[in-house]
Amino acid sequence: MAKKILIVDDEVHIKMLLEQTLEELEDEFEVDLYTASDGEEGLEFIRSKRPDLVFLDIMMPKMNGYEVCRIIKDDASLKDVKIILLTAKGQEVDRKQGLELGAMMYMTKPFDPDEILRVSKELLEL
Amino acid sequence: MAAIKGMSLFKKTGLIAFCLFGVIASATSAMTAWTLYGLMTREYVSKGTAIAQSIAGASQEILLNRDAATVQSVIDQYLEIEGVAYVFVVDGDGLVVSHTFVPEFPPMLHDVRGLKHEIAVSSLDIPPHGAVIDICAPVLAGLAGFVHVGMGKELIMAYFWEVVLKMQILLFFIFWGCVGILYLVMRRISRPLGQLTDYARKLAAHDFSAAIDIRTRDELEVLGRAMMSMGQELALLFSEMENEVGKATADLRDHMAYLAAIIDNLADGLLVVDVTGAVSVINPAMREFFDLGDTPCKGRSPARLFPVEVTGLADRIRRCTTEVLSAEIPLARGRTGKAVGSTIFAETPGRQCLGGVLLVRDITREKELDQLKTDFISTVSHELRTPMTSVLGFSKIIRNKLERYVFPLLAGDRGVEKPIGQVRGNMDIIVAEAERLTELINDVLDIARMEAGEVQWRDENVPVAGVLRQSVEATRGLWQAKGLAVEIDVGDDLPPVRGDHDRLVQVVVNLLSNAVKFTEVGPIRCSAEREGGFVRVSVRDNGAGIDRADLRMVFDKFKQVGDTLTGKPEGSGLGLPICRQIVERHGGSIWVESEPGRGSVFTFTIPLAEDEARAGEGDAEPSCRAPEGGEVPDARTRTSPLVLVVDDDPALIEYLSQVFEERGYAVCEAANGPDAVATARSVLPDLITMDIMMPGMDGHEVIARLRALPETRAIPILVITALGGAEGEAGDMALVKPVDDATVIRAAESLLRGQACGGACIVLGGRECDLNGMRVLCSGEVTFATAEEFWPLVEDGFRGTVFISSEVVGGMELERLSALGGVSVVILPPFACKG
Repeated sequence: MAKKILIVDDEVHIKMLLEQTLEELEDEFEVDLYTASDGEEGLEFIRSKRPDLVFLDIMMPKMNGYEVCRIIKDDASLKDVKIILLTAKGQEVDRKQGLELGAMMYMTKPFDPDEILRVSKELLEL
Repeated sequence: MAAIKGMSLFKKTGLIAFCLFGVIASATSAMTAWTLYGLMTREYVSKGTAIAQSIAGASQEILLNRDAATVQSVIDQYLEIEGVAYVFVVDGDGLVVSHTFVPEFPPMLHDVRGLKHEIAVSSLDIPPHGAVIDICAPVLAGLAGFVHVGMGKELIMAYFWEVVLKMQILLFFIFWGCVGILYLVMRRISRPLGQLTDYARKLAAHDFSAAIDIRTRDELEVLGRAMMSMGQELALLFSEMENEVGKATADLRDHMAYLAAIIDNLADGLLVVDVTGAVSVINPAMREFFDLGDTPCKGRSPARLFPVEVTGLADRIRRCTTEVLSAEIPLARGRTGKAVGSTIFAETPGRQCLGGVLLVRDITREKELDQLKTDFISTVSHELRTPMTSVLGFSKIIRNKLERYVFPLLAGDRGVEKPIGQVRGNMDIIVAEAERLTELINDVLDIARMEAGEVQWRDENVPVAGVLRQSVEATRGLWQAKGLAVEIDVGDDLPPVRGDHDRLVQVVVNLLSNAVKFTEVGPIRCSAEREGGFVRVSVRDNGAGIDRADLRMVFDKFKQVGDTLTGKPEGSGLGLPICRQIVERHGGSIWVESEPGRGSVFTFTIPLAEDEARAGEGDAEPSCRAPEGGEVPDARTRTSPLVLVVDDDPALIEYLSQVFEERGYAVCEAANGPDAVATARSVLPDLITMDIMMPGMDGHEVIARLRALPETRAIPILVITALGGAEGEAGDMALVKPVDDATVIRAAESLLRGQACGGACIVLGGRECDLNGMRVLCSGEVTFATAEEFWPLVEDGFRGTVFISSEVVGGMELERLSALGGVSVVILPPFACKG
């Protein structure tokens, strides 16, 4: 079964950047890429499609990344969803909070596309 | 009489004259009386002789006939002659023929015998006739008997006394006559003298209106005139001086009013404390800053008026410190102030401390602005990150895709090779610049976070060798690109330090990239070694070096030293400030030594992991004991001062420890430089005694290290050195070995308290030496001497303390001086003596 990656970000360019970065996986390992533009949409997608990996921005309209993270972790049925918080909030408290809420990783923008690719492969065990 | 009383000159001369006159009078009368007595006696003798011979000659027959009645009648008539006391005649057998004694012949005269051939004179005392001169004349060579005539001496004495009396009366009158004349003469002299005296007294009392009227036509009149003109000169000078003083006073008053107005209208708060620590000046702004209203402040202790931060500063600046201290202090109503304090010195010989002055500026607004700036930087950097993400990310993707998909398709087409090369190069530039921009943003955020204390530190035991290797690896691209080599020099047994691994790597990477940036040739050396409780890491390059003036600034934020207009600045200017933040957060310190054109050495220290520090140092564990043998309480709770004794000679450590312990001090010991630094940091002693010549890290270096660390910077250091020139310069005071316990204790006390008490002392090297902090070693008698004047003083038996300015210490025979008993040597630090 094809692995699913969800990108949740309100910034169109970042979404595009991530998409283009991860396209390689799509081609090579038949990973499916999905995107969402805000927290609510992202949460809805996670609940319905259960992606394997989520790149989640924190500052987003409607629902922020922390909330999405918390809700997912509170939902036992979604415990396998791996979340990488990918955000411009680089402060230590933010990182701490994110990791406490159950994110697998906390990455800060600007990111290196190669690093994203490497981490994704690792987490998806590809 | 009053005039005589006033004339002490007359009294003195009178007394002398009286004595002199008495002696003369007595001698004259005695001489005269004696002469008169002699004359009269001779006259009586000759008179008596004449009478006796006359009787003897005229009466031979009568005597021979023994006609007593006739004899009687003859001799009776001689009684009428003045001075004749008696006449009597004895026959040849010694029987009285007749006599003039009535009623009876004195029996003692029976034995008075005459001489046969001549007249005999003898003095007799015949009661009741008194003293007489008996003249005995023989009649017919004694055959017919003898005639005795007695001349009474009473008359002689009566004459004698009469003459003496008359003479005394005459002399008495002459004496008083002389006294009168003397008085008149004296009065003539002493009146003008009195006038001169009065005049001088009036001058002394600043009464210049008095006049002298002496018309004696002699020297006194000249003197009087001279004094008058002198008085007039003085009056003139005085009035000029009064005018000047008046003017100066008015100026001073104006000046004071001007100063007071300035002080009162200063926007900054001003507080001046005197040497005792009491408030001497405070301005309205200061009152307002601390909500003091009209509270009387002058003469009160700052502790009663201000928060502890101000009190602490005030206390430090009133001591003779040359440092300028600054601190952020809380003001009333939640505001924040920046206080800058320094000691006030009187520009007199010895540079006496007068107290301290503290200026406080309300920086609440600046703080808010600073916060605003930090927030702004934080927000902007944050906002920059998102577009930077796109720029960097897409650039990399574009570059990858071009490399992977586009360029291979175009390969072989000779027309596009050049554009492909350009596109590739341009893409690299975009990526590199985007990375540089990202680095800047990260640096800005990093330092903003560190300053806000928002950084989380993951402390663990970190092997320094690993940190260095990782850092060198991380910068490989940089140094290889410039063709430089990086050498790592780390001992195998270097213990781990306690810290945040990534942050330590960040520091070394930063130092390495800086070194690479400014170095063109030659290796960059990266070394680490153990130093007491620390690991000391150095990055040494042979690059451009840093100007002396810039050395202090390299750790300042956004300061890129050198000419930033001609030399293109590279980097954000935040790297070193970040390094400093990181190192200081770890409890270490970072500094740079550099020489323009010859390279720089950046060095930082990081404390060893605790268990390592203890295990590795063995005796570096603070070796301390309280005087009563218990444990030494920590710096905040201890009551007796704690002294750290540093010396590599165990015997001297033991001696000094005993000296201090006997006086009730707690003592810690350290036998080498690294131990000394580690112990000083952990126990924070009140005083350190420092040997200079020690193996490994010498005393100078230890002092430099202690001065560099914020917590040990203010600890007074007493250098106790074997010998030498400027050995004492680094400390606060230096004693030359051998030392005696009293001197050590006095020096220690003076450093601990900075107060005055007592020993004679000589200051060598001029008057301009400040003994204030060392007064405790002197009893107030301070002799200033040059080197030439000095040895004679010592040879004259001087015993006490000799202060030698470090500037002249080289010219002194210290060995000879130290060998003297009872002489202690203190080398003054260079700042204590001017010029």
